[in-house]
Amino acid sequence: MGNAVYMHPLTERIWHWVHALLVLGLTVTGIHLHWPEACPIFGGLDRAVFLHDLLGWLLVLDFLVWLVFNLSTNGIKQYLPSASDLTRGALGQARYYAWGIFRHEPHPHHATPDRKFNPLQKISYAGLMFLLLPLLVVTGLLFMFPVQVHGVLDLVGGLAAVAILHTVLAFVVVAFTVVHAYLTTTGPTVLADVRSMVTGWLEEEPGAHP
Amino acid sequence: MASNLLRTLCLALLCAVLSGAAAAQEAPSPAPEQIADALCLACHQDSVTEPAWKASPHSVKAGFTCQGVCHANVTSIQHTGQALPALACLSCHPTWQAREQQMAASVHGPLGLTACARCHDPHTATTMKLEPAQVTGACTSCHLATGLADKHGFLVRPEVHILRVPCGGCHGDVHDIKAGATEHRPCSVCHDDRAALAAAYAELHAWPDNSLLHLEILDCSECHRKDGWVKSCTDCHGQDSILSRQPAEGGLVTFSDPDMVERYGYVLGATHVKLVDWLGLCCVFGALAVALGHATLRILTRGRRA
Repeated sequence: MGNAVYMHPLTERIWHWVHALLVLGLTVTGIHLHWPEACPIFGGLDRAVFLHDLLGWLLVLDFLVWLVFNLSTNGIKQYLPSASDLTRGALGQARYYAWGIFRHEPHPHHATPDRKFNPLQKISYAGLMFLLLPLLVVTGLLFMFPVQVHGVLDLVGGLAAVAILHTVLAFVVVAFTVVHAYLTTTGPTVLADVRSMVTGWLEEEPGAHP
Repeated sequence: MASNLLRTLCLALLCAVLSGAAAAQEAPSPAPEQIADALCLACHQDSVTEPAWKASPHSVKAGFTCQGVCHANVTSIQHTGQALPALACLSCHPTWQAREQQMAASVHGPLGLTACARCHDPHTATTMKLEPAQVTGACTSCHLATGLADKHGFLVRPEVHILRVPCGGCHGDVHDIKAGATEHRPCSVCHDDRAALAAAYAELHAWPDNSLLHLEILDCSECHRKDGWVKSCTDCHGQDSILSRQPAEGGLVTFSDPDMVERYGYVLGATHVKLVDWLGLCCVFGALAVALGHATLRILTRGRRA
């Protein structure tokens, strides 16, 4: 093994795992709520509703913490893909996952504490944090307060439309999480990325990057 | 009061004397006695009073006498225990044929031909149409002893409804009631001023989070059901949510209003779109399959170097 780089500060790691637990909890409770007869995971529906609502509020808090933290530390820049990230960078990264990785080509992106994310990560994380998650939170809040937001509901096509959007977004986030979890195994070693998110240190493969 | 008592005693005495006289003359007299209406009514005041009978169209217009048409089988002043003959209302009222057939096929069919007279008292009726109070009186004269209040326990304040609402108002035409097919009408048929109703009972219905919305869009009967009152959110919004089901046959469930469900009705199952579910599951399991396939290829190409 080569050098180890301190990639993820403690605050970031705590946020990441809290966020992961919240997504997992919301997914499981959401499964109960969506298919209460087929998947009554928590027994009573009241319990599942309570947990889903509670985790939803914690996700709102979690999102705000992430936003404030990254805005104050300028870390938000890491999530914003550049024009070249959206074209050449994304294609290069996609080519690597589709072809180069099987030929053990060097990773096209060299992660550093200031440039942690490859172009595809930037695009997907930006989509998740700036679009999917806020929309999930907003649709969830509309569910919680249908009377108070009656006018808004009428504007967006009623609660049924909100329900369908919330469900679709939830499916996308779960699919994203599956891919995200798998791609953590594509680091220098299978567990290197996961380990770095626990210890903060990412070990680099010697000679992987110039 | 005293004069009434005295009058009743005198009439009873007269009846007794006449009965005694008739018994004394019980000799073989095949010819039927001609009994004047006044004499009948002297004893049968519980059926009709003389003034009422004299005002009745059967008496005034048709010129019926008691013994003349309906009670022709009474041939003697002494007729204790003699059954009333089958009434033949249709012989004079042939236009009621269809109604009679309808009645025979209804839940009241077993009452037979005397059924008409049970509600439309031939002694007193001045018109075939009964006033609401008369309808309720006619119904309760038979049904009061059969657990009427219990059967209407699903209503809000059943005793008030039974007292004030004509039975036909909810159960429809009494001549055409079929067993087990009573129509329960939405409360809004009568209580159409929902805003006033909601305001009047707001305090009682404050327990759901969005009570106002419920009062605005639901019919009372959707919560005040025959099998009991809804007392918790999960009675409707639960995993056995009635909102996600079709209305039960003959039941009160009318939650299938698509407009309501579309606009307000997020309830479990109500907004399920199978296509969305399938696409979503394909998305999730597709991602899983791609990941597994990718991992497999990585394992298979482990030794290959660029």
